[in-house]
Amino acid sequence: MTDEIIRTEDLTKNFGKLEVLKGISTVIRRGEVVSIIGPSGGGKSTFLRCLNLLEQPTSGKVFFDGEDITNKKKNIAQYRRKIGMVFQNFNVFPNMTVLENITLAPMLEKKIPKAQAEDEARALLDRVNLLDKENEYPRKLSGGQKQRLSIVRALAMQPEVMLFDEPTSALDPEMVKEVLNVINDLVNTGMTCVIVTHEMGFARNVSNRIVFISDGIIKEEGSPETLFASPRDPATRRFLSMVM
Amino acid sequence: MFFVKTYKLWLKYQAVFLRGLGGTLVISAITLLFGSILGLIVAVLRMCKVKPLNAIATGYVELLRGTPVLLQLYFFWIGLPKLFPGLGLSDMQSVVCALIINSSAYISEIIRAGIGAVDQGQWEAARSIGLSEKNVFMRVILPQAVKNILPAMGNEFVSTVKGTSLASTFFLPELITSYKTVQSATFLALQSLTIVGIIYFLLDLVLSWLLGIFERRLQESD
Repeated sequence: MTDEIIRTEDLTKNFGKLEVLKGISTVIRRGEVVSIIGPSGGGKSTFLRCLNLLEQPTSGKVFFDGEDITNKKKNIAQYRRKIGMVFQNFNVFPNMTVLENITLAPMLEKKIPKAQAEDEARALLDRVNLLDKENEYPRKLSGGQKQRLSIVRALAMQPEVMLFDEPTSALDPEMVKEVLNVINDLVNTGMTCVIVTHEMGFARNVSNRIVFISDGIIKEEGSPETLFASPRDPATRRFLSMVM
Repeated sequence: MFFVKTYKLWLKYQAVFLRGLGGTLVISAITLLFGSILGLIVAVLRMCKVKPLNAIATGYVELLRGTPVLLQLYFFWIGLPKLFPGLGLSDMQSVVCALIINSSAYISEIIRAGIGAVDQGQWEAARSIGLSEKNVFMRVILPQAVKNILPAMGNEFVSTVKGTSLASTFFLPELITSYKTVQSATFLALQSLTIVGIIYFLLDLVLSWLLGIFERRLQESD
């Protein structure tokens, strides 16, 4: 397929004796929005973290744009610049202002001049309604604001795909929506997204495809309509009956 | 009586004591500067995943922490000139080398703990935006670690300054040596010790005060 952006082949990951991933093969296509759902400890986040090699797979391969990035000779930082990631715990840099958080990587790794990087950062902040916070330090921001900042920090590198690792799980309930709205806007721009989430309603609305991961394998995948309405696998059925 | 005598002694031998202070300051500054740089390198090696490097760094730290400083000073004072006869090392250079190496072991442990206290998520976030490993460490992790490190580093600086007094064993020009000089000229041992003690105390007071200012500066930005 010419429009594939990420492909995994028989991906496994062990932590000591614990097998977290037991062989995951899938393809993410450009423009696709894939939500990964499943029980805690089933391997969703580990799978996502293997896509930009924050976790080194035990075996198997990850291809980005047709290139094997698990090959040790590749400079992984170069690929990570094209793969944005948003974390459950925001992980914004507490010692930098909002603006500095965003301009750091473009200035250091893309050699974009400061003024230009700041202009671009402000445009991004405007998109997520944080323009008035540009000179604040993250400790002055709410959880929702921090998460919006972490999203635009990733977008500043103009990634080709965005990975979301439970982006709303650490948020107070009233802040979940503002973050989901930002992700939704991003999806509407055509950004390829892979989202690990427990927000079933959201997953159903934004995704082209739902992947159900449990016990380290993909038990079932399909369009949101079919997977939510008529799950085939007993594990999927059990999971969905508990969360919906 | 004692204080008058002490004061008179100070007036008379001011120059000697101040020269001693100067020596202590120079030895301390060199030890702390190079001890910190070497300490950072050792800390990075101890955290590195390459097993042999890691083992060497760990051995280095354990050896230096497990033997007396004075022994290390003698060892370098005798050993270094024998090992590098061509360099023509002075007593001062050999002893300062030993002080640097000794303090680097302690400083590396402080730095390592400070780096370890930075949230793992910061490493991941910095990597996820595509920073090179060098930039991840230098631009994201280290600045945050410095904040964790500073209080313990302050203690280490103060104890290093006091530790330079061991250089007097080799009659290097510093504060305790100035006490020995004045004492042997006047036989006023307690008075000269008092003077030297006050100088040490004031010196550490100033150092703590400066570090306190620096710490508050950093806190403000966060």
